[in-house]
Amino acid sequence: MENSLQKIKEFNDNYLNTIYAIVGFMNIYKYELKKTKQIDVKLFQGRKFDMENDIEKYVTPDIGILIDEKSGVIGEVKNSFPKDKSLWTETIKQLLQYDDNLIGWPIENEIIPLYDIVLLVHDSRSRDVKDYFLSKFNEELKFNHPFIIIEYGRSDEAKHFFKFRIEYGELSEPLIHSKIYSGCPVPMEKLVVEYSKFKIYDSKPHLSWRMWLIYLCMTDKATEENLYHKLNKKTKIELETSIEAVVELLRKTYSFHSFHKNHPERQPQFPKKDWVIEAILKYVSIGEARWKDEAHEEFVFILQQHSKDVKDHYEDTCLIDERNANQMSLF
Amino acid sequence: MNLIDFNSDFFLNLPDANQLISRLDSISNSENKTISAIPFGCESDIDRLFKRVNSSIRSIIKEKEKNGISLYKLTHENKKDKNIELSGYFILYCHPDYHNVYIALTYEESYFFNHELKPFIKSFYPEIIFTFIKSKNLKDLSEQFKLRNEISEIKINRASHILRKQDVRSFPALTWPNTTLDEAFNWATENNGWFKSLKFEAIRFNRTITSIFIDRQGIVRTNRNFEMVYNSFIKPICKSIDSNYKQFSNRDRRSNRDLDAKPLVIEYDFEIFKNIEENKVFINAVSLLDNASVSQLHGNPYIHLTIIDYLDGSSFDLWVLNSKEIILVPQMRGTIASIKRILNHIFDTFAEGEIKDYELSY
Repeated sequence: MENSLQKIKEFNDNYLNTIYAIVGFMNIYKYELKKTKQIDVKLFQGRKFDMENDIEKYVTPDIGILIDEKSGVIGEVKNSFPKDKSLWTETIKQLLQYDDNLIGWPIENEIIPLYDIVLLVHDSRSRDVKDYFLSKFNEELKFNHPFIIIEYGRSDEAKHFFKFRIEYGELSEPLIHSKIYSGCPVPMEKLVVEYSKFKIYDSKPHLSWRMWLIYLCMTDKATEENLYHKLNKKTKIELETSIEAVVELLRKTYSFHSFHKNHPERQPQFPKKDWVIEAILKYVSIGEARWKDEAHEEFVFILQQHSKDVKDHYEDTCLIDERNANQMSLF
Repeated sequence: MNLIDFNSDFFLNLPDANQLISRLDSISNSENKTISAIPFGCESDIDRLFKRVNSSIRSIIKEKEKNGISLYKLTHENKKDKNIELSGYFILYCHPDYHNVYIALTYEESYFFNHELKPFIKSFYPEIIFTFIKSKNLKDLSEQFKLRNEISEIKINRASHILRKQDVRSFPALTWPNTTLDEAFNWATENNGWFKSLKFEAIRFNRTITSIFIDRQGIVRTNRNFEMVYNSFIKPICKSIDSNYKQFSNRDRRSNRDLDAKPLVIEYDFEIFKNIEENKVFINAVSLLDNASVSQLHGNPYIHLTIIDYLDGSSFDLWVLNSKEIILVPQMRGTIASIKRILNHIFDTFAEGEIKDYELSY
């Protein structure tokens, strides 16, 4: 059981680390180029790009950076890789899709001639990943765009940093390349406003994470609507809301939407409705919510104090669920 | 049980705001009355707030109002025996220099003050906030008082102290060290403690000119020379409440553009988090915050906690990302009262530091 709980915590930790990597890497471009060259940089996360050579498909990269409306960076962040290397081909396929001339940049004709493709990898696997990619070059792997592998990881001294270092390739923006080449430490304390704000990106978080964030949003909703009163073991607050409203609250509060406020087009809505439905179903099953309508669009959230801290409460709730599922699978 | 002479000249001719302090000074000196003061901050309509408590057993009536001074009568009926009631008067003084800062003043006896007025005012949290006097500031205030008023000696009669990190929870301990101010504060510093309250005598030329009680929340009581005590303690406390409003307001995400919070930093003048063991001590200390959920997202080597304040629904992210600072980031709602509560809790249970603005730069 401890291991399973540990797995949930690790999953959530990986999720946050991915967000820190996205925020940290994008901010190097944003601040360095503005500080030294007064160049405008647009950032986007999970933006929908069409593929020039396959109009049926689209991609939503973790990282999107547009520099001075002329060049850019598209990237994927992998905080962990499976032990089985045969599964790594999925990442290769994903990156090769980015090598198609992507359409959808936030400029008038939506196309830019030059962009880099970066793979951000946690430093625990960066060397293995580099070797793996090198072994695949010229076989199944060939990029038309510059391809760069960047390792990231924490560096803990008197201050805590997120450090980025180029493991392979050359970034097209010389200033940023020279900055990251031998290792660029980004002090975490300088990004706490963003780190405290972004808690969802375009990848599905663990159910416990979603339930925790929805609880936080419901608390905010109660205060905003002047329905909040002190919560203790005996008091509860019933809040009428809908799936759509929760999706919007999570998007507004914890997603990267503020990055895209001046270029919101092509930006898929995160979290996805399905992610929220799963969480609400779980609340209903544990008695923390009840449906208001047969269509299961509207519900009542029962805000209450939990004996454990709220995040632990939902991790435990999901753990019990996973354990039951495992037991069922034995029969 | 009416403990105050309502027919006294003071109440019949309620003084103007500019005469209030000197009139109370006269009362404390001539009638040997202990004056009790509760300075607090409130952004809400205070009359509407007070009226909320009117019930079958408790009532508050505004008897008079004159130029920023209001006289209230607070009555509490005994639940078991309705013939027994406790009532008393207090004056509410809206500080002329600090918007939203009030002082509740009474010279009723201790029982009314401790069992009725104090709980009554405190019951309005989080709409009402108190100050928080750090140990260093308490010492500074006392020293300034000594200097300004030619006090030759301050003798501590009674002190309630708490030692941090001694146990899972800290309990107040009463001591009568009969020591000087310096000795008492040095002892507290050496033992990593703080004074919850102090009672001391101010001596001038071998004569006790006043006896003062002061606690960490800024409640002050004195038996003589009220004006002197007001200028040295109560006035700076009012200023500190005003500063709290200015420093802690509009920090939350809802109040700011792009929903970006305005964090606060607690800065220490030494590397308090140099040893990693201190992380655990700190997390344990924060986790003791009552009426709150404290979730640990990361504990080692850096700290990232989230806090939900069940009292008013505020929430925060809390970070330790270098060895000298704690960063508090309010989420969508982060009230002044809640920010103060968390900072005070950290000061009480971990260590006192300087509260500063977070510098938003990369």
